[in-house]
Amino acid sequence: MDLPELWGRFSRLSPDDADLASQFRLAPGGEVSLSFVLGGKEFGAVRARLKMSARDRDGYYNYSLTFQDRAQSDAIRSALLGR
Amino acid sequence: MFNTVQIICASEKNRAMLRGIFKELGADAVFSLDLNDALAVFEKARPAAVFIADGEDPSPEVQLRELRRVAPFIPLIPLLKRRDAGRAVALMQAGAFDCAQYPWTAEAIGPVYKKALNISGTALELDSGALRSKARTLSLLLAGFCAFAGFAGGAYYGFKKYTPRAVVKNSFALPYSHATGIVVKKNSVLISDWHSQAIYEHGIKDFNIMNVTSLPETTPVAMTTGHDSLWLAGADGVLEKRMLDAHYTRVSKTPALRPSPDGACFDGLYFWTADSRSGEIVKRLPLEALPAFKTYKYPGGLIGAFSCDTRFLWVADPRYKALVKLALDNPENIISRTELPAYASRTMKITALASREGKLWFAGEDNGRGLAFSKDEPKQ
Repeated sequence: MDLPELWGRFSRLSPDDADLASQFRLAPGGEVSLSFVLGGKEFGAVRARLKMSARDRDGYYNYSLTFQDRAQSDAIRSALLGR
Repeated sequence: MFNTVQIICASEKNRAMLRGIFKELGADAVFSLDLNDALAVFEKARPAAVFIADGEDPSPEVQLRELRRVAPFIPLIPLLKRRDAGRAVALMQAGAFDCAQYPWTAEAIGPVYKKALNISGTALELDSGALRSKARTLSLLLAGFCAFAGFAGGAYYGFKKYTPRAVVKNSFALPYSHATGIVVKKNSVLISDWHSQAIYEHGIKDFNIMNVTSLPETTPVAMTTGHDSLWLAGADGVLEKRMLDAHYTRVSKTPALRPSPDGACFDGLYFWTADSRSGEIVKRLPLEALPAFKTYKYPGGLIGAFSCDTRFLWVADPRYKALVKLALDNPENIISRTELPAYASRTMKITALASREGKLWFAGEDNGRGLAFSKDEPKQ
């Protein structure tokens, strides 16, 4: 997806999926590339597909994402478990 | 809803633009010209959120840290000068609630403004049914906790009572913990911090922060005054001569000195630099390039912090746990060693030292907490 730079906050994170809150609008169904730091470990170019989005009363968008790469999901699992 | 927000913005043009935007959003906007102004407002009233214009002095990173120290739960939102996701995330990791994107419009700022106001509190209701069903488990857990707390409390009491405590008299807590230089003026004290790349000016009586000046191009590892100027040693070995004005405007700089100094002072005639790693103390001519005149080897244990005045060289020595006084005409001659009670704490690191009018001033950190203190010069 060719997008300008965006940022947000995870409100939930698991090895396979996540919820992301952001002030920026993204079209559902597309794929994004995420960079973040988890447990002191840097994750770059993590591929995720936007499953669902909802706009809250403040104007923020809440997205449900599923991670597309098994190896990246495994790495997230390890970081969540503190390994 | 409480809708007073504070906006820290020095630029008159940006203030006018933001005034219109926040009026359109229905906010009650209070403007501060800079961080000090904002902190002064905080003493009287707390806004629902604070917006910080990017690209001004000090940097949003410094302002975030200072504001969080005073008001850790107020949402802080940098107004970015350009759309930069990396910078936005870095600022959020530094404590920003979110960042408002550029260009600044009511449409761009609106969601962040509303979200910030809405996190001011969450109503909670107890689920009585669930609580009753878990009552017995909770009681058992509580009993176990009390037993543990009693044991832990007793152990803690014994530890606190019988472990010797370091007492640092006349000390002030600092909101930063990587002090590298200290300069004492008539009514204020300047302290440089390498981690935040800033110079903090504190009132000499109560150590309240009067001013914070960001040094984005310099990592200060030492600081001193001489010839009515401020001198900053950078991590690259370059010494910068700066004016003692509001922005510490740079006037000149030396070539990179070797060894790279992490201590510097001026005795009224000569410049002195010290390198704690090699233990070298270099006497330098007070010319633009500060050429070396003579090199000495520190005769003590380790140079933790280094300074001088018109009579002596001073070293805070963590190996000796003492203040070491050296002769100006022969620094390899120790005149005296005076125990420093601050070193009773094993985690104490004194990293900056200055001498003024019979008093010595120290800055450093103890177990990650920055502090500054002073003591009278030893009599011998």
